Amino acid sequence: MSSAPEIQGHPVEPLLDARGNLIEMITVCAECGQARTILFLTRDRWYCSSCRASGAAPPKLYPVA
Amino acid sequence: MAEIFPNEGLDLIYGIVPKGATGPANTWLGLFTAFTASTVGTSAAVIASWSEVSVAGAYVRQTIASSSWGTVGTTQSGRGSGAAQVTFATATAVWGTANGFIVASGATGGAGVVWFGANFDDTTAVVINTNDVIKVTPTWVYTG
Repeated sequence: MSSAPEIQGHPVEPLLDARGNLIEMITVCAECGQARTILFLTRDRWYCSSCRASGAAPPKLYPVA
Repeated sequence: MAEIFPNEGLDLIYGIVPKGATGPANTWLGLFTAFTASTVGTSAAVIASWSEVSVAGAYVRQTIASSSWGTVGTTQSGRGSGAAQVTFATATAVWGTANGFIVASGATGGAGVVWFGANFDDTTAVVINTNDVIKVTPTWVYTG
């Protein structure tokens, strides 16, 4: 089972058991929102292979006054 | 994307239903490097056939508790379910190119019986380099 801490505000979707009870929240790709078999962590966001490779993964940067 | 219950995995399942053996409390998730991003082993495949990632660089199989499997639903090819995500430890060396995952009978990498093997759902091979951190969501599909 997952041992990583949850990232606040990261996109997730529920994984339910047969009775509809929540097992855990599944992390989905932070860019496309799809649940994928494999995700990569880049800084504080998880990305699927496609979004990671296409350049979506780099974090958005803002100027600091 | 391809997936298979190799013969040795089917033999274990057969032992449980209809033969009545006790099912396992856990299975274990591993990554394989053999085959391609859209193909898996044959029915005759055994653990050596899959070329699992070597137990080095912090790679170890991850436990999947039987209680962590979710609702069974209809998929494109049968009835399937996904388990809770597992997060591997940060790679401390290059793990190589993974083409998918296996669900195995034991915690020891490169050993035991493979129940089920499948490519990643986006049929993309992934190179796992030093310092990479990955999450994998195991799935399991019975075709009718």
